[in-house]
Amino acid sequence: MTVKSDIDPQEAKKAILEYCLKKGALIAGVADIDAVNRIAPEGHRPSDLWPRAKSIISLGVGGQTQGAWAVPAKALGYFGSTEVRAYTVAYGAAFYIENKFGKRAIYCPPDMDTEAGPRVPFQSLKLHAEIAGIGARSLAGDILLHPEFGYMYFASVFTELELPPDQPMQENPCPTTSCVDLFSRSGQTPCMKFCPVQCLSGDIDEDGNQAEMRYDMASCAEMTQQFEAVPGVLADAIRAEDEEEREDLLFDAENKILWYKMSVGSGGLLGQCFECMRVCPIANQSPQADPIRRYETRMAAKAEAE
Amino acid sequence: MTRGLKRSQIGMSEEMIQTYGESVFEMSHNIQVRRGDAVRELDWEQIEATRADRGMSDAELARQFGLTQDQVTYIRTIMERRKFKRHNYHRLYDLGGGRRFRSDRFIPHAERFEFRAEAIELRKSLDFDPRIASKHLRMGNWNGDTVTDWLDKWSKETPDAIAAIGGGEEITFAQIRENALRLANSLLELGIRKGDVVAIQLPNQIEFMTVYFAVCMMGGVLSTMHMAYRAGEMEPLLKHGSARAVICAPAADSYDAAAAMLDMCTRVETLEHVIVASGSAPDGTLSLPRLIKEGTKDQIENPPVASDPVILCFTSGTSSAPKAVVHNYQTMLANNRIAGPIYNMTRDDIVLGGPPFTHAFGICVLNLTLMVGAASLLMPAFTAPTLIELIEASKPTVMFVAPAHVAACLKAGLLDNGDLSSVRIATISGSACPPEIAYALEKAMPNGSVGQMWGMTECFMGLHTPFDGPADIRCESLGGSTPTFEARMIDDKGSVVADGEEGALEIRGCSIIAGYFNNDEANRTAFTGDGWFRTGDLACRDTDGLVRITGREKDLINRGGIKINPTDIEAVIDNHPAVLMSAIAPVPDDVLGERACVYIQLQPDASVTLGEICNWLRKNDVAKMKWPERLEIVGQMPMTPTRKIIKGALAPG
Repeated sequence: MTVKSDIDPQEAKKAILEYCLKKGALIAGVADIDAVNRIAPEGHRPSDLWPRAKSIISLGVGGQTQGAWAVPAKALGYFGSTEVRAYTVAYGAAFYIENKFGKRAIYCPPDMDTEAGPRVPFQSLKLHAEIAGIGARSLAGDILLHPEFGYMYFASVFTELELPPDQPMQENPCPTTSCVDLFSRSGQTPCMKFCPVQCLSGDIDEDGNQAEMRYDMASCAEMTQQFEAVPGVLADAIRAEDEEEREDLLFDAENKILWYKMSVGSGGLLGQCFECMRVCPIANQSPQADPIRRYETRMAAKAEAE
Repeated sequence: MTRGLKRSQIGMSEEMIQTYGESVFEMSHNIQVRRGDAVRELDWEQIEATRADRGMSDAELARQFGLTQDQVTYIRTIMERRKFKRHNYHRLYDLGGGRRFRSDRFIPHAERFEFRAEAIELRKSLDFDPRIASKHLRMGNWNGDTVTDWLDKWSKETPDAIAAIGGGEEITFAQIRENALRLANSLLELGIRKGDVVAIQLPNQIEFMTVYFAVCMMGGVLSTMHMAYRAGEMEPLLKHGSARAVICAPAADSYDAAAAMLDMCTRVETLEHVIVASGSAPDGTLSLPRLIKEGTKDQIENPPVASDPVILCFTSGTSSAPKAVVHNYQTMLANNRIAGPIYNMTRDDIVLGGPPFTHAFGICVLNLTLMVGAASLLMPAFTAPTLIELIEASKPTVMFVAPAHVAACLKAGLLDNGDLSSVRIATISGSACPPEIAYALEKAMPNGSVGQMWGMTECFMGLHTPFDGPADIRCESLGGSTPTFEARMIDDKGSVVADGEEGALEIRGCSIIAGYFNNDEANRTAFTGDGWFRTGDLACRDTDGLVRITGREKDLINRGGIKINPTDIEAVIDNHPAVLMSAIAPVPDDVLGERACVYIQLQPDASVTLGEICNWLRKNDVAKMKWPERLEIVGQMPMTPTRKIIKGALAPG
């Protein structure tokens, strides 16, 4: 590999981030890899995956269309996750870095650690984004939010190219004033109140800042992810003594959808819940939270310029 | 399991899972707690201090717990599986699109409504041949209508129209719907569920209709019990239907129905509630008016659909193997929808139903009246003067009666003197009608026409005469079959007989039940397997296609190999001046096998001998071989609720 030695880190960073924005990211930044290595749990640090990585580029794409929030949860589960768009941009960015700067780069695997089971990711893309300053942890199970773009999906690129890091966000937009008001009246923010499995709880201090966030990830997962369901159905069917019951267990409408989704490879087995984000004022009411709001912002800016 | 390793390879026991499982589960990522915003603020001291709270990795847990990483991963994944509640995602099904989760509105599947085993068993009687079901569904003969749909329609369109007139009271559609809804909620409150059987023994009164509509609303199955039945007859029927509640009349005369029902609760395992149609219910029973008054008007959460069973009637006998007829809304209401136009009824009609609601004929008339939004004129108990007085006072425009009703009025001399001018159509049904009875009724109706209808509990209305046809067709035949129905007459070998010849009447159509509930023997006898129902009646069809019922198969007398149909002979004997009514039934005979015995109920102060009867038959050109060979005088002829003679109850003295 030809290594170019005259790379200006600031210029390189600018070029890479512009590439990401041009390809569809709403926002991008560079995370301090030392900070990430220090915070991430053992086995899931960038250095555990690729010791030669010097920088982490984190980028976010828009969460939902405005229309998506208006449909039933079981439909939203199919198209609510837009992370694939983020992955595509990150994949391209890794190619861009190697091609443009001659430095190794990898698209950070977003998936699960195959040795540790389906609830353990290789790397925390959330941590990368938070350290890169493109999102802050919310009371909704630490889902990252941005005051301008609301709720996003993230992807990361690791590279040997040394880039000047960004800083985490100065302010956390969560909780909003309306959420604090509701919390003071009921002890719950909207995300806590409307969670179908009540997996969220916490506290807000007197200044209206997050004091504590409690997230029962297991309950959240058992509602929105069904990887335990398939062996569960089979185990129940094996145990069933009655032939009719066994047939129901394997083939009733509810279980049949499992086989269907497995056979056609239709994304997540049910998708995610999104209820906490559906009721989050930051996630869906921020100035550029969805394409319609972004359109309106553009039109307003254009009108002002004219 | 972990990394493909077995327990023995990583040194794992069930006891270790028990020991460390909860801790590993909770201290891993499964439960995450964050205090403050340390990561964003890069507060290193706080980040380290709260690392365990945020959820530890398997490697970190292994070091803290003194386990290997493989052991931690194994324990964690096992615990995640064991704690996994597979059906939690049901909570998502009714969310989004403006709907938010409310824990008080969510009922887990395991806690949702479940039919009782008895209700599922009852549904087995709706075992239709899939080809027949497909035909009726495709043709639209079966649709989604329920009784509640019809009641709702009229309570919305004509809320103030009279739904029923009875007992000196009138009730509108809106009122009876509200009362029924309140009662339905009260029944549900009592623990009676959708699919449960609710028995009823009430005369034709507003309370019966209220109960019927209420049971329909909450998805119950109404089992009708004839008013004449007492504990001995009712107990096997209540057991057969696994009735959960019974609704009866208050004590009257020598019969305390409530006490009898309460006593039966100890013997009928499923029977939990006795409800009395009285404001003051005896101890241990519930008051029907109070249940209506105190019930809520809440919308029924789990209403029935058209394929659900709705009524359970018993057609014959009260033995241990009764013929239990279960109709769903599809078979029951299809009959009204398809045959209804023949009767040309409108919501302006007042419909007098002679047959009791405890009989399928009565239910059929009730449904027909509801379908068109007309008013039901109720006659709780029949006597000839009562019927005529009711007609004169309430001016019904449509009337359904049995031949015996008309015959009684005729013999009492009330038909010619009564004012039947309000009646525009009168349908005679329930048993074979001698033509002179039909002509006499038509003569008494200056503005109306008589028609005849043949039906059975198993199929409701099957044959009808057209009201715009000539009098001889309407008074001397049963006309043709219900539209979409088919009727045929077959001989002993199962071949269809030629027009004009007598044969066993078979019928098929969209209202015929799939089979009797829990009576395999009766099902083998009555159903052909290809949709035809063996009615048990004898009939012939003339060249014009008009059908006449000529008798009952089981009433045929086999006299030395010669089969005698007693129906025509009885009609002749009934015209004898000394005879009120007659019935001919076989008596065993060592030589001929069977001989004919005539049972006669005399006119007041009259007498007759066998010789006089035979002489009467000779004068009326009845062949000698058909003459009865024995005479029995009976004080009171045993009758069904639809005024048919119960020949099985006749025996020589």
